[in-house]
Amino acid sequence: MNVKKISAGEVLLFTFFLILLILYIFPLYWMFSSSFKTAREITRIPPTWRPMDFSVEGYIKVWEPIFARFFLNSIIYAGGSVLVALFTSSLIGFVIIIYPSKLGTVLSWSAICLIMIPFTILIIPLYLLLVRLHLLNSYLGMIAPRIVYPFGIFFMQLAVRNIPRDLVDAAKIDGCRPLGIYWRITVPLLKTSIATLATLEFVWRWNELLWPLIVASTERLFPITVGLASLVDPYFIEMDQYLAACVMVVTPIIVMFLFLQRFFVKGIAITGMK
Amino acid sequence: MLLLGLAFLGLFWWYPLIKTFLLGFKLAGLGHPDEPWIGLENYKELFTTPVFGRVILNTLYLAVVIVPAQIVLGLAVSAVLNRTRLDIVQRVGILSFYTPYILPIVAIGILWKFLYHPSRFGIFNFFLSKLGIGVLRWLEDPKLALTSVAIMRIWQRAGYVILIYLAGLQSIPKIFYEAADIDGATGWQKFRKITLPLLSSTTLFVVVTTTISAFMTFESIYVMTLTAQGGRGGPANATNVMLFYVFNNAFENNRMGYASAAATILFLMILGVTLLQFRYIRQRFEY
Repeated sequence: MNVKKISAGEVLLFTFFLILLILYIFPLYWMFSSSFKTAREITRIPPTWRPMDFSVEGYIKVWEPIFARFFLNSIIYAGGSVLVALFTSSLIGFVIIIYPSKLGTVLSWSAICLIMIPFTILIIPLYLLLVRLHLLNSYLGMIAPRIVYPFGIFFMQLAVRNIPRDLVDAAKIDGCRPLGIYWRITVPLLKTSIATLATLEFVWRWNELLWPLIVASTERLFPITVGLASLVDPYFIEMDQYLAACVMVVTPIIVMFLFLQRFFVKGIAITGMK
Repeated sequence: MLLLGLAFLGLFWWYPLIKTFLLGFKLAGLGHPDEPWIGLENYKELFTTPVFGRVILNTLYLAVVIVPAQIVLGLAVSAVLNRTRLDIVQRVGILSFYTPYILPIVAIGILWKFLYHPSRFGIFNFFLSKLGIGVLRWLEDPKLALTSVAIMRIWQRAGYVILIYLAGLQSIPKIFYEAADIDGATGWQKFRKITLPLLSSTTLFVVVTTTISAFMTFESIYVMTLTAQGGRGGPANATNVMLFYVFNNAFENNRMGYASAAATILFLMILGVTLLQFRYIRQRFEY
């Protein structure tokens, strides 16, 4: 083993780095720790570094039936978007690559062009369109623009291209029907890509504010981001509740990240997400 | 299947895109189902309204502050993470820097509004008063509000830039550094003459994505700048940015034609940045 000597400069560098790291995660620590303080302790001067009178009051006050409903809505919105987008993207990607056609090329180029256009630019006509289709204030309306999803098509097309063609050709010769090839050969080989796309899409939809804010006009349909934003009043007084709510919204994503780290990291290599 | 796919892309993506441009020349809103043409009226009004000038400047200011800060921070941290021989340091580093990036900005914004609290229990003000600087009003100070939002965005998004740079650094062949070592180059020289040039395409990518994301700032403004006196985007339009202006005019004031004109300008700004990237990529340097 070759054990290199560590220079003084390196020690200094890593000390700085460590300080930066601690400063960096401090806001998140502060959120968790303050959420377990009483409303009085939060406003104490000087601040307390950890909860002195440990309390879950903020959580109890926030956890009303409507807040649970926000969670449910987010799960329906994010989960629904993921399921639909995975199905359409992988199927379209499959058809474009395995059964090349003029129409497929058009669709493929169309998707690539649309990736460069931020969805947010389109919200005004989309809103008017939903009004005309009577889809405003419904789950379907929220999910509608993501039923066929340009980024998903692009992503799945890349993945299908990496599948060994011999396997597909062999299945064709054996008389396997297109849907059979899709389901028995492509999908199992695309597991990693599907999981990556599912992770990215789920987090994007869970975190999204603007689109559901426009589409959902009654509290009953608010996903968690819209609900959280509506919880905060202009005077910003009930901070114990806000922080407890933030912790509840953030925790599922942190847990997901800890378990699915490689899918997150894989995803960012391909995309410049928001 | 393909036809159905094209139909959906057409209805929910291409049609709204074209419609955004068209609405910019119309009087539109929930009370105007016939959407009469009014020519360039919307654009004329945009460019004569002082607030819109402020909005454009605010948007550009965000990009000018956020982009360089993210690049410096991203390069510095990824260089350290890349150098460390301890796997655990790298893993913990990635985990802690990347976490804020994947969390909803709504929650992060509320958290930072708490950190920025103008009273002395706001943690930033607590530190500042300890250092003898005194108390700042952060989001409530018209001069400081937009910078406060920018600082939050830099913190929240740096993990992404760090990961992109880390991938770039890991793709540089070690042999360049070994050759430089033989020539007796110092660490700084190696960084200037090898690392930076070889990372130029990574940097371009980071500049483009970071600029676009700064142009699209919305959630942080919506959550952080709500006050009892002036609603959101304040104080005194200090944090009114493009996307917020579009949202406000379209969905609060029901002026969808006018807002579409503003959205078109935002789209052109983003398109400009994207095209810049393609121009440079074509004449990319060979090494």
